[in-house]
Amino acid sequence: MRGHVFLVIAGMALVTYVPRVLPVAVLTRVRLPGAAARWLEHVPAAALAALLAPLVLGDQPVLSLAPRVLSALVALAVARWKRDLTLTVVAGVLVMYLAQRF
Amino acid sequence: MRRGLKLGWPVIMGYLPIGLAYGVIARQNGLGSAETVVMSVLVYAGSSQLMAAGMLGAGSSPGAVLATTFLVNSRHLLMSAALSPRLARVPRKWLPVLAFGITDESFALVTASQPEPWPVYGWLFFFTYLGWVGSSAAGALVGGLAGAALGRALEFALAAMFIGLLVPQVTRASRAAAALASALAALGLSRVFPGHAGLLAAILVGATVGLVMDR
Repeated sequence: MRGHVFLVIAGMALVTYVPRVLPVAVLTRVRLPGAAARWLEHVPAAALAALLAPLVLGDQPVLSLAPRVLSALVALAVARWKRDLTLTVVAGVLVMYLAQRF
Repeated sequence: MRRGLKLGWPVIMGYLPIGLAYGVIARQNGLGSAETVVMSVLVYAGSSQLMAAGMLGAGSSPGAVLATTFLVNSRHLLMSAALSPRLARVPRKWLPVLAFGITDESFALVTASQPEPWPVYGWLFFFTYLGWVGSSAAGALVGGLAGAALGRALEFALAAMFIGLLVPQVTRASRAAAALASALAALGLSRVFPGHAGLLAAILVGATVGLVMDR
């Protein structure tokens, strides 16, 4: 392993770990005021939607738009009616696989 | 331990294609197989690793790589904060260890499921971490052996997983508003900033819209 590459990787590890550990280390000690706690309750839905939207609707180098939207709609229906994460992932990937072949 | 593995396995399956892709791309960008795996072991953040591999291959300066990594991974600030109620009972000495395991996927899984005793989270984070390191090592070693159509379909596993995790989160109108605002902001920002660099801003916007709608 090259020394300068290892130093860059170690630096990346540090700047990635600090945002992970600091909030949880502080916030498990103090009680948050109501509005801040209610704000944080909305973070999971916001974070998942922000991760998801560009994958389905953004510019992607490999998968074209129509199969992605179709596959997302099927996954959405399965998630809505079955509430099963594994089944949702399998359905989404299966539809994507078939959609590319036709 | 078994409960952690049972809960975590969709995430492990989701990491497989991304880890493989990262391993292959890192090797193509001139990283050695040891360097490729050590980055997964120490950094454990897929999108920033892909970006860093590309930047290192293109000869970017260390400062630029570190600044981009921080920007891309700053979204974990909010996930770590939002996880603190679930991790309140973790003993102090274990909290820094568990915090290392906070990723988009493990965060989403923990917030989407019913509260569990903290060791379940410990095992869950451990197994998903092993999944990431293992799949990137496999990618570094074997390259693209999977068929092209199946490989592309597997890339969608991540999106399907986010859908499966998002649906149970939308329990009231304010959360739907948060998701919608955040999705629009992320789409707009992804046209300006590459990768996940705009995600922190998009989540801030979405959660704030959700709070305002909650009143």
